[in-house]
Amino acid sequence: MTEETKRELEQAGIRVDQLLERFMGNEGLAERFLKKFLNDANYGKLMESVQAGDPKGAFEAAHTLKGVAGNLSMQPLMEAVGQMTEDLRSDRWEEALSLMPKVTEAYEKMAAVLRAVF
Amino acid sequence: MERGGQQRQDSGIPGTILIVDDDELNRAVLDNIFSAEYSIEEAENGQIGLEKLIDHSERICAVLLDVVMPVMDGMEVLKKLNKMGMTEHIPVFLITAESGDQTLKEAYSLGVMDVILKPVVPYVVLRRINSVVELFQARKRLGNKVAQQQTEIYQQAQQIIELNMGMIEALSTAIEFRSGESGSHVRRIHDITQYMLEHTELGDGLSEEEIQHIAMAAIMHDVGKIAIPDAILNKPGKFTPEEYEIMKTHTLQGAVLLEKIPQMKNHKAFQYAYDIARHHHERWDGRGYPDGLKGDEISIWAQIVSLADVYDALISKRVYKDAYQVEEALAMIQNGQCGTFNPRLLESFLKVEKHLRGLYK
Repeated sequence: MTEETKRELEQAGIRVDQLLERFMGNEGLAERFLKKFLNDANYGKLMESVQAGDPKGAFEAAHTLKGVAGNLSMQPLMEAVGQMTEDLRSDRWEEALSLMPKVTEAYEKMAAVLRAVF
Repeated sequence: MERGGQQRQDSGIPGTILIVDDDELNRAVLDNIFSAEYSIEEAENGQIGLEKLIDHSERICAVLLDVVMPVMDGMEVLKKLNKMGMTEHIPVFLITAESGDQTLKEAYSLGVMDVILKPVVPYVVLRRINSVVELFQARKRLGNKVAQQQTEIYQQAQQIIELNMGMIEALSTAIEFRSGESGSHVRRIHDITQYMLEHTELGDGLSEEEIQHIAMAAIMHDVGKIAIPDAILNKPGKFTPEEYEIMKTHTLQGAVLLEKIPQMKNHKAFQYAYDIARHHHERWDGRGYPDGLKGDEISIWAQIVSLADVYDALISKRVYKDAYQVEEALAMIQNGQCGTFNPRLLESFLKVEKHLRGLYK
């Protein structure tokens, strides 16, 4: 991973040092999973569940997405999805819905920087 | 990158960590953290995790368990493990994003060693898991050591008991030898006493250890004979009244002799030995000697040795008589020709007599 790449990821909100530490300095492994994030189905599943009015499906997707974002140190996305997960866990459907735009924004920002860099 | 794990495995210490999580990224992160020091097994849901744990339990030194999983979730796995008692032998760690109080409380009560929050921080999770894995292994080593030493101590204790028995038998046999008895008489009294205490209701309330001590004490019932002059001890004919009185003193002499042996006094068997030596010639109807004890005043073990002594005398050949036939001997015992006995004692004796007979083949 070049310094340039790391800087761009950092600017988009990813805590790169923390990420690399979690991967025990294995940059190759970290990159592999960052790239994989673009194919992660959970965001799509979250959208679908929200549209279909499926709280259970939404919760599962949000919960998993939060985990992935956390592992990849995607701070803003993790926080946004985290909030939504808690609302869904406590059956606060309306509040959860209202957070969807924020989640989308954070997700798209991640997707964009990953596509640019890799 | 599994050197560490292999080293542990080769020396017989479990060196595999089982990672149970449905998310591939989570598994990869944990695998990456631990694979330098451990072998790794993975499972994508609780069901598979449980199966793998059961199949390879001797190799696994820790389980990292996620909570939210399909098919079987972490709490369910934990409940099952707790039920099987496995959480006491293999440390289980919850690796979870759930930080709710209820979950934690329940997890700890089910035997989880630690709850580690996601997303994980490597140096934290490494330290916490390594510490506990080491703890469990140290405990196991210690447990093995203790068990090993317990076995050694037990074996040594057994040897000491055998040695003591040997010496007591030797002493008693030597004393009986003077009056023409053989070592096997002494051995038989021991065996009969032990058998009757172990296999009839006469031994109720006595522990195995106590029965062993009583049987050992029974061996010494006639040590007092050492104080009886040869002329009387080995007289072929009938005793005069004076000679009989002297002969009778072997009971008291035996008790006095036993009291004089310093080691004897401190031994658990001493009370029994003293009692038996002194009272094995008492009679149920009170007309025995030296103390004229009556009925249940005579301890059950003294009664047993008394009967065993008579039985043995009747059916073995002695210097002063031939052996009687068993049926005749039993008749004589039962109709009071050889002293009176406790009916309860006789009842138990007759129940097992056929087996006792076998000692004389």
